Amino acid sequence: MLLNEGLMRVRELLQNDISTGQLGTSTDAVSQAQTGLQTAVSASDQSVTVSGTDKLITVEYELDSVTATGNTFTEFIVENSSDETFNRILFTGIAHSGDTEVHAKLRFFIRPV
Amino acid sequence: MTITNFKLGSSISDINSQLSNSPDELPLLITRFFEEIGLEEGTFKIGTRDVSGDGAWGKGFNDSGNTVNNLNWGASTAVWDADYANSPSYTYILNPSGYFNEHFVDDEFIDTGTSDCTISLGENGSIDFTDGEILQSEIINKTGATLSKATLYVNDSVITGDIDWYLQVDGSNWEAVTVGEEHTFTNAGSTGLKYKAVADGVVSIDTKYTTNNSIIKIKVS
Repeated sequence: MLLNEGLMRVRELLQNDISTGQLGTSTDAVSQAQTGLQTAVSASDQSVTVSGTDKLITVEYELDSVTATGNTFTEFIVENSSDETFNRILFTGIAHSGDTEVHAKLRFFIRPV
Repeated sequence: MTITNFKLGSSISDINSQLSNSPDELPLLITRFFEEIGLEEGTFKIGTRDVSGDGAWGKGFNDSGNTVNNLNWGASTAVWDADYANSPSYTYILNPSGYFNEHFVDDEFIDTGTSDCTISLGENGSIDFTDGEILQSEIINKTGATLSKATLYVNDSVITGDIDWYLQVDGSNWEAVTVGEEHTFTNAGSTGLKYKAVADGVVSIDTKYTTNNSIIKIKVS
């Protein structure tokens, strides 16, 4: 059977591959064939903080209050350093002004199926 | 050849034995069994943190641990705050296909200030209750829309004892729910979904690392 140690190794490989997060402004529905944001805001491409515990990966993204302001963000992705996208998430809208930072947190869990 | 009462998890020699040592059958059988690893996309939170500096949390001078923004320049009690004291406020808390999965690997979604049970997470962790003690979550689902229905699922195999379960979406009214049955909220709302577990007698939830499946799963519909 798959051992916990093997699952942890898979978690570590994924954890070490995740590199950046980015926001966009499209409201197009998510489909599995997509390869990134549909309307990317390039300045929002930021390194993420990735941590791992047991089979859990936590990705934390932060956009400061002076970068990419004036946008209302509606989509988010996590990528590796080659801009290969892990997932795309849609939400109703976060307005980014000079008075606010944008914070996002995402979790992945590795487990035998 | 018909295979009956086959034991999954048997060693190859055991399997061969069950197949009456038929070497022609064994490779075919082995190719039909494989193990899979799943990647579960979990909860996503996004929001903002006010860094305008017009509140008590502003980056700046701190009066001996009490964050204020009204100290005079050069005041003897002033020390520099390197970061803002306020936390992000999450506007949306979203779950893939509406399913929140709690594995209890960490306390990200546990309201540790309100829960009065004994929470000991980690490699050999457990959550232990005496009669009447509670485990309460932080907001686990917040879409901006009114939430009106939800279904709670519980992994009974890791729970000993009886728990009364409650859900809340309007920020104030807890409603008793039956595990596995879709609940329509009397007090629908958009504040965000929380759950509460109240122990009916002594209860223990085994949360150790070997638990692969979620322990609590809540579907919003």
